Amino acid sequence: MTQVCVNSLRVAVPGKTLLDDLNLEFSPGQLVGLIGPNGAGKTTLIKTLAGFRPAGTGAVTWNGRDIRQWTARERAAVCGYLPQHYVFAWDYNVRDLIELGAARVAANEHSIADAVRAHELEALVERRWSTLSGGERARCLLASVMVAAPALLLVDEPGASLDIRHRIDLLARLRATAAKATVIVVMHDLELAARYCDRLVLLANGRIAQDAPSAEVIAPGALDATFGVRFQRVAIRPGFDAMLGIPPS
Amino acid sequence: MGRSRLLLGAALLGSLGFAASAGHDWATPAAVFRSLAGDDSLQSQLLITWRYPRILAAALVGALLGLGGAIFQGVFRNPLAEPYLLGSSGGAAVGATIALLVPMGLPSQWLLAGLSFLGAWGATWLVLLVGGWRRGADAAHLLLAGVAIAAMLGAVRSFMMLALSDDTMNLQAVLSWTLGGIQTPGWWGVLLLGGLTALALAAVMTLAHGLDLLGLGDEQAHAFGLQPERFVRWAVLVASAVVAVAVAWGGLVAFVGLIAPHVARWRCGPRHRRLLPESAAIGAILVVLCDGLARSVLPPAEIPLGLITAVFGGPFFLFVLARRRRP
Amino acid sequence: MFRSGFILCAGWLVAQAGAGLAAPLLVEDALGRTVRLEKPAQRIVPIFSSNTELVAALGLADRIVGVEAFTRDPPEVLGKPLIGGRLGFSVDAIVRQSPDLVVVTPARQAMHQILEPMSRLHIPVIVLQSRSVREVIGNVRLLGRATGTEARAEALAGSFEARLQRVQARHSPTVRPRVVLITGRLGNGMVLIARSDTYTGDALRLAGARPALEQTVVPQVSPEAVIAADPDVLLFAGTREHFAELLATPGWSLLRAVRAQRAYLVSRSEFLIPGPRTFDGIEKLSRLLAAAREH
Repeated sequence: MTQVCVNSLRVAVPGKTLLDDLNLEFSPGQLVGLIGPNGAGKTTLIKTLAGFRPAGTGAVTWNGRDIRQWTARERAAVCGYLPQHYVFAWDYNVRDLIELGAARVAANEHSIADAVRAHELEALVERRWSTLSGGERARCLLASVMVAAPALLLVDEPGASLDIRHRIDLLARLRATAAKATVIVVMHDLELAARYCDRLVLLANGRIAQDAPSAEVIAPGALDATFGVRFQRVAIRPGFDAMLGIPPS
Repeated sequence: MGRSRLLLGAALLGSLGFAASAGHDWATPAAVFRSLAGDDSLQSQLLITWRYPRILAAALVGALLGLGGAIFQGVFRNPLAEPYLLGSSGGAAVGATIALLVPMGLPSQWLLAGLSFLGAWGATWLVLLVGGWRRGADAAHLLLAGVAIAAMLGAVRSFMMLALSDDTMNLQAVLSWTLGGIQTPGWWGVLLLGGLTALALAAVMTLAHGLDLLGLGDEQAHAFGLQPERFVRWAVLVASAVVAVAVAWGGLVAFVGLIAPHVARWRCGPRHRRLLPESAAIGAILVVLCDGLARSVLPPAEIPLGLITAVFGGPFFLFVLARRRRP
Repeated sequence: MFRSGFILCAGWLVAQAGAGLAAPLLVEDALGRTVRLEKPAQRIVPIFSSNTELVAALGLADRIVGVEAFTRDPPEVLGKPLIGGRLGFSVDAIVRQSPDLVVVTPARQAMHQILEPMSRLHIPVIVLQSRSVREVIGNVRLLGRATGTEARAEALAGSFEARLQRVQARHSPTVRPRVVLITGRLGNGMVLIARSDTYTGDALRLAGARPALEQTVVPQVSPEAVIAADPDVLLFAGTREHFAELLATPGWSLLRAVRAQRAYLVSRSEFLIPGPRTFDGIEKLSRLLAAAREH
């Protein structure tokens, strides 16, 4: 279980403040979505939470300890990070990737086999990365991150390059994971964010515009103003998987 | 997988056998056996004191080059990286030039090996200092620093060759070293080299996991527990030391550190726990075969080893190109 | 008084005219070039020790006006102006000495740096080669013609030939020890040996030796080849320390020449400079080989 706290976090580069005085708390059991327009600081925040960016002023703590005091190894054992883009230098196969992920916690063969099964990769285990489709790659990467059973999962744009079916699939898995771990995802797709996330943090210009359960954030209010568009809110009926906006006739 | 390893081992033994026979005077397998059985003739004694240490040194030098090359390719995430990228060849040449041209009181073969080792490794330290030591090493910065240092060292060496050569030790004597070649060591030298190679293998295997992670990209590697910049600095130092030992015993041998890991990756995939030993074995086979050729193509002279490996390097790349072109 | 003065002037004019009408010297050098000298050379720049020693051996050390830095013999030339050395040769320095003859050997880029400029400045250049000991003797006569000292040159050449004949008479032609002369070591472990088609090889032959290693395409050979050839006598042109270092490397202790104490040091200046000292070297070596044969 990992309690993630952000205290007065300020991240700036010469000429621009990326994040300004953020205060947040995350607990296990909820899938939290970070939403906001481009340049709001979502990716900066998630990378800072993962420990990639220097924190600037303020602190990010995991279970009360500042992450700057954690070594990269300690962080890797507890945290899983799924990037938006990934390019590998060598043509690893699926098994290699899961093994590399498992090495974070020195997991045994059993855990690796479990992960393969859990993400339905049995048929793909010996296949090389270059021969996998987008959906297969996403599952494989998720498996390699999840095989270490991280208590904190940070995801940047899950399924960004996937079709709707695979995206839904991925989010469903993340939601299942959120039951026991702390899961924070950066989302561009507001529709899926509304449906799958329990809590949404709306960022604008490096500041928190709203931090509340998704139903509140989705309701008319700060959302329209932040994005600068007018949303039509429609309740999706049971039995349907996704929303498709039809142009007015 | 076990069969593939067996094949590699057989190839290594076969190449050693070929090299034992090869030379200005081809020794028949019968002669080789006789020498091993304790024959007293000059030919047998010559095989034992001169040719066998030579081929073992060749195998060890090749193994070291294979290891160094594999690490460099892993660190720079590029299958075209080679062990002399960070100035070690320039540094080694300066060291060797000093050893060959500056009269010092010490025995020359140890001096030559020692100074070329120091020059090779020292150049890499210089590149690390220039390319960014404090924050750790960024691969792109290192490459640029490597180019700069190599150029400067080249100028230093050329100047030294002009200024220090005289009628007894002319430019040809020094240039011959830079073309690469294994100077036959005594059995003590082979033992020392063998010990260093074993040490190198052990040290290098500790880098295997980190190199795998580096291949995932800096961020993902970080996410999986590596500190890329610190690791790169350490890996570069280890790899350069390994290459420096190879240069001390075998001079500047081109292409082996590039081809061996490349071929090993085709055979066994990118995981370094298997790649590193395979690269060492393939490097050993390459150098043993090329050294055998070098000794037997133009008797009683020897063609410099670096020339032979360069002759094979070119066609190898054409082959790689052809493979890539195939859909 | 006027009449004696007039006769003196006329006589002087005739003598000058006679001198002026003297034909210029035409000398053919080793490259087949016909070199034209207006009169016997008085200001000579011999490049390389070999040419300097030959000129000095003709008693013409006082006519030498420039030498290169590596020349150390004979002592008379040590104070002379330097016209070149490790980094090449300076046309300016040569011209500054106003020479009327430059003697050069095709080695170390000397030809490329000197022939062209000298021909444009109308300074005669004689190119000498020493492909055999006989050619070295021929060079003595050639230099004698170019410097107007034919008599002295003939005497010197004759003395060399006589010394060679005495050496030949001393040893029996049937028993010729197999010899390897090592002239240097390369940075990559190869050794340089004297080849049979050079004057050094010729000198060895004249001293009574037989080459242990057959003709090589390149002058550098693998130590293994030398050891396998197992010569009767091993010669090394260099310092004692370098010889000891070479013998300490793997395999050399197997040579019968080394085990029977028949590995000798020879002087570089006697075997690697094609000049008058070559003949000292041949004599010394023939005595050494004769003594070695006794054992």
